[in-house]
Amino acid sequence: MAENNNAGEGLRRLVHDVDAVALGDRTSYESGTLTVSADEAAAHFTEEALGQVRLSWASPGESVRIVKILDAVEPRTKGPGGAGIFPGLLGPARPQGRGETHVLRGAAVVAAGFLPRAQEAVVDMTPPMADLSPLANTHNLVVEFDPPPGVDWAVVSAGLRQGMLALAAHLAGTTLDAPPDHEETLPPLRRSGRSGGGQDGLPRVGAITNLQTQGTFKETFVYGRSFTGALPTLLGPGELDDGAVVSGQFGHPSLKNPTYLYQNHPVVAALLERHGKDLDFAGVVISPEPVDQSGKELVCAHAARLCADAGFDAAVLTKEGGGNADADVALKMDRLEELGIAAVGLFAEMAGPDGTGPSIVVPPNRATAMVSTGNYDEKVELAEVERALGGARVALVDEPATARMELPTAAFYGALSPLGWGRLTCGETVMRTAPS
Amino acid sequence: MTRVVHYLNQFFTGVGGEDAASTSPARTDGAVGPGRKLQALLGDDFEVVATVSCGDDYAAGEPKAVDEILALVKDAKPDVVVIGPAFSSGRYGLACGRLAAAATQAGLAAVAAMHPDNPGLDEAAGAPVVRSGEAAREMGPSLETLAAAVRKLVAGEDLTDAEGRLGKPARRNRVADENAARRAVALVLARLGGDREATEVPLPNFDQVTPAAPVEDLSQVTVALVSEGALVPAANPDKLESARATRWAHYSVEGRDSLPSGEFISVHGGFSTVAANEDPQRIVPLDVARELETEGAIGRLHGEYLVTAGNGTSVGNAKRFGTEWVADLRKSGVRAAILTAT
Amino acid sequence: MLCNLTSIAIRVGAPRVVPTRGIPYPTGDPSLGPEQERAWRRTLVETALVALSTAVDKPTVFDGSDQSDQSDETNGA
Repeated sequence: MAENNNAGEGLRRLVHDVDAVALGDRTSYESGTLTVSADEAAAHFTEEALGQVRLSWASPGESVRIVKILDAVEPRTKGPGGAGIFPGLLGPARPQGRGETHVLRGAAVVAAGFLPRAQEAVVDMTPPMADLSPLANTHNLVVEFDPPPGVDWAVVSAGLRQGMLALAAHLAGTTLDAPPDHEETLPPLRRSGRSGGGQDGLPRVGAITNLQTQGTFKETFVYGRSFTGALPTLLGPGELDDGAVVSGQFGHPSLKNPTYLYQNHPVVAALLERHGKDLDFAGVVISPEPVDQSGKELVCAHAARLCADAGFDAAVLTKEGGGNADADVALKMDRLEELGIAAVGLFAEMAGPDGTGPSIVVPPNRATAMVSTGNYDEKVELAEVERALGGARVALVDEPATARMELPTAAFYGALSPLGWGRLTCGETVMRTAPS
Repeated sequence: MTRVVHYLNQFFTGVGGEDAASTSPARTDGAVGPGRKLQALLGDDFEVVATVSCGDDYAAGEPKAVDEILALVKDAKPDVVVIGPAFSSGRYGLACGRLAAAATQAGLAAVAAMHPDNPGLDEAAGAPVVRSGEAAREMGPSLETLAAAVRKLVAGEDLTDAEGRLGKPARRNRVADENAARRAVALVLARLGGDREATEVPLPNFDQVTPAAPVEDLSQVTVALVSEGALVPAANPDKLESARATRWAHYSVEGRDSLPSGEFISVHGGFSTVAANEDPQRIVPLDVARELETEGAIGRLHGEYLVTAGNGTSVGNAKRFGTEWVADLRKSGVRAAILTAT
Repeated sequence: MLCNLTSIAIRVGAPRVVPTRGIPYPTGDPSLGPEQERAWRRTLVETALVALSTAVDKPTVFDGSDQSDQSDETNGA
């Protein structure tokens, strides 16, 4: 058991806050205002696959609704040209998570439009959405597209993804000469082969993040490769920051984990807040979500063993998807508890519109600690808005996109965030986070 | 002054016994029968301004009964609706549960009381119900529990175990102080510290399903194919939803021994439908079922298959579909079903 | 009930469960050639028929194939 078992240096985030946005002749960032040239931005998207893309800003407080939301990406870069950000897709596929990363905080590049297997996701930039979607709180550069007829949808999806990442890096590139508003340091991942062997005897606590892997339009990329069929692996916190995990999944709007939230992983952030005080951060195990029982059992056994080998005393588990994804979390929670590793899972509830149905169809058997991220089925009324981006109608209610409408919480982008972004919950006994 | 409207059945309002069970809803001013004791327990800040009563048969059996009762209740402009106690009386309990649900959904503060085993509890759909004794001889203590619950309700407080609350309260969304990630970290540290009980979601109890008796001789019976794989004719003529289905459909397989690709598709939103669309029999196994019928392994294959989409389906709807499928298949003389699930 | 996630079926109390090979194709297996797939489908449905004519008093998995484990789980609360 070595004294010095750091896995290299950590990551420094150079954070630049976005207070205001505009469209203009030149892309620039000055005194908190991010100005984007629509032409420059559009040039990042291949016309053959996506047609002429349209760019618009949708900012918090404006009377605008974004529908058919696909992925969202936070503008980040490691240097001119990207310098390694989004490895495997934009940058070369090399391990990242060290050095410096520039972040334009408060902005997001958001794609909106039709893709097969996408389920209609909605965000309003006005109340009551602030607690119902991360995108209600960011200045969103919305990219709309119209693929020419005959283009394969898989090509459209890949082209959109590539363009968004390139644009995100390009926007962050405007901050390279500006002094940051804040600096945040992420510790390097410290490996310990012995549980309870955390620094100063603190418990070693990590995260297990299950990634949706259900084929084209419902998959997640790690270092540029689809994670379907992979075995679980251990990542350091900085790797997520640098875009090692990118979403290619467009179903289940409220249960969706956009790239933006992998870059800003809420559970990792919550663990890092307590690192060195109540716990020793042990890393993130990422795992695919197989669609068959034997696959689930294989990755579960492997992930649990990985946690044990990495000296986890406890783990917080997240997923992406509905009941099928719950099965993976429940299976892992039970297996971890068998190994003596305390487990907590984040679950959304599907208790029906009046909240009286059973909350969770696949709860764990042995492990019992679950956090509720809210009821999927509860309905929310949205007021009429002035403009809409991403589509002309909301098919779910068969109404024009700007109309007043009632939608289940299930339709709001990230409302029940399985990564723990949101404050929505149904729990009567909600955990208090103040240290005892 | 808090205005109370009290609901009682025909017996407790002195209209009559079983002979008066078909009485339609009626309203009287002020408190009646046990309502007077309720008034005394509640004290001067409350006034039982009206009592609505109804015969148990009418209340539990007539489709419009609850609407009619609720209308009379609303006419009296209540601040709170107090319902029962129904004790172990089944029909009375059903009426009380439904009225509690309807009143709550209409935005009124309402609380019912009944014995924990009363079937009416299931009808309350999350509206507050507190426990009463088993029979009328326990009226005294039952009213005390009910009165205490009324006070809490009117004060805007949640009713819990301590007030004798029965059933599961409805799960309602609200905004916590901290996000789920932070709460999860707090929960895992608590668990590490020895608290193995703490959770935001209690473990559910599932129905006990009584297995149906086995089929004695399959060669003598009709077997149906049913599925939640959302397999529909290519135009999806009944507009089956891809998620959160609110309906089911049935399609003829009479005279068919296969489901050709292109004629049938799966509209399920929860998985890749490529394989299913290549060969619909990967969802509804008509080809081999027809073969088995021809060979006499089963007596007859039912002329239709029943289908819905099992993607984010609420348990309530799923239960309803199951009940309706059973009714539909039984009517057609089907004895057994093969359910394919995705 | 023919399904892939048999643990869920058992958990919620389905009395007669037959395991399949994948969520997107309960009565199929695209990894097989068409004739083998149909033969496999037939075996699967025959197993279902066996289940229908067998008395059970708790959730029971009927496995006609040699692949998955034969665990016979009880329905916990």
